Amino acid sequence: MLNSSSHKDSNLKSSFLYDVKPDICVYRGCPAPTVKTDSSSVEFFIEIKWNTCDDPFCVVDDENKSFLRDAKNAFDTLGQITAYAAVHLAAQFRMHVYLVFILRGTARILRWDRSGTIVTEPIHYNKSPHLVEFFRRYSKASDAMRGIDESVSTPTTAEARVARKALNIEAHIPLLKLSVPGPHGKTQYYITAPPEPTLYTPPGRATRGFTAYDIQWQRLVFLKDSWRIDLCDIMPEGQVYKILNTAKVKHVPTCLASGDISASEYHTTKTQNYVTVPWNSSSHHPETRLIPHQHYRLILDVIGQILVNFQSSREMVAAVRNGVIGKVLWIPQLDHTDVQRCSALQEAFEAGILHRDFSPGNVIIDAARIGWLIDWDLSRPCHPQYDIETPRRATRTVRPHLRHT
Amino acid sequence: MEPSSPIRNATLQVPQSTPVKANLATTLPFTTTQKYRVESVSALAQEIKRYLVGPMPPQQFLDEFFPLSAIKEARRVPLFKPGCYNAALSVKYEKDVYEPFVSI
Repeated sequence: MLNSSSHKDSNLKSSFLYDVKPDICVYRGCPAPTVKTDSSSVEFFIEIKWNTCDDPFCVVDDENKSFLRDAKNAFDTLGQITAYAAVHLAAQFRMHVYLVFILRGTARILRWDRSGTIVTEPIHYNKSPHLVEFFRRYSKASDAMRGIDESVSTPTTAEARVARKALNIEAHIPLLKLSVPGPHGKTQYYITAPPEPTLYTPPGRATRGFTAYDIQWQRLVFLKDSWRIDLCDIMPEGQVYKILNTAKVKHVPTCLASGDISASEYHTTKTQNYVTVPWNSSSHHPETRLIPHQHYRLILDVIGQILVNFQSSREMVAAVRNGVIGKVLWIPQLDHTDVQRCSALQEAFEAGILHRDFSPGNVIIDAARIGWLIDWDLSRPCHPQYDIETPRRATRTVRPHLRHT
Repeated sequence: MEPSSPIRNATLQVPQSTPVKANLATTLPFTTTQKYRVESVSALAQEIKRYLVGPMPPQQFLDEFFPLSAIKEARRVPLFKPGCYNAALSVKYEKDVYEPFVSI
């Protein structure tokens, strides 16, 4: 447990505009003497406020009232600890994280997962054992119970050497080995670099994309790590790709492997299970809607760049056209003849799949400067054979926030 | 004429209205630091507030997320001693609490 109040996050992969400086960082064992704040290795953060007006929470004396304080300073603190949790989740492979918020003599423990956040009642930690008991149990808990993703390991020296060369990653950057369910129940392994934190609020699909090295087939692939929505009307993305690939829809990558990471309880979100319990004061909040998520990975054969990295306006237009426009447009200067003939969106619809999340972020350009339509995880079967008729989902793509401290 | 200090105005009254708080919002309201930090913090708070569940009783929290039955090395003897945070709680300012808190 280190005083990190005057040390900004030393995680080199972090690219936030403002410094992340939680008051106390808790590590496993003894970190290097130079490490004070490091979101890539911290176990959990502790944030301390001494002024009661900074408390984002209040004591609930009426079951119809929220336990959130509606005041500017309270909102600032809530945003601050949310940012810390977001950084923590983004900088590591974790299913959930904990954070302790202290206001003078009281503490609250918060558990963040991709469905929502559970907040405890205030703990008078100098009189009540619960905070110390939390520290004690956490220190003895298994990695999975702490939230650490056990499907991520360290590659062997030989694996790392080959992967580092293929991925062109410098020697000082650590490599990680991720498991993905493959065909016929056989687990496959891929090597990639640690994630670069992006500031998303914790709830949501938390999609992270990596260029990865396929150990078995010795090739580069695209690895997508996300938390898919675990509802019956949302088909797992790998199954959608299977339909699209079987129908030979053009400009849709081929899915090489996909599946839920584990049947373990820790790879599914839990917060949604507590919405209807009697002590939850936010159950009366009309906007409270928590969606269950399941940890999921998927491997694609196309490694692309985001659409905004186009080299010319013609290239960008052509890439979008690959994805969305069904009619053939003839442009004499266009080099790629095949881009004039097909539309992933149109062909997918004809194959029985409606994308429903078409956006600039979901069209990528590959090395041959051809556009591909990806991110089918919110798509919906639109063919009568699937017999699914549910309303549109209220929330879809979660926008990244402005960066902050 | 000899220089002299100005005569103290004994009639000055202590302000009775809400005092002005000297923070970034009042002293530097138009800086980019202020503008973007508040925007981003507020955006995060605004988004997360509808995903918060609570307040959960702390004993239930511990038993559900850290059940003793699943923690092999957990000793059942409590380590907590009432008053163990006296040193941390005796400080006046927040900046002085970090060291005593981590040294428990």
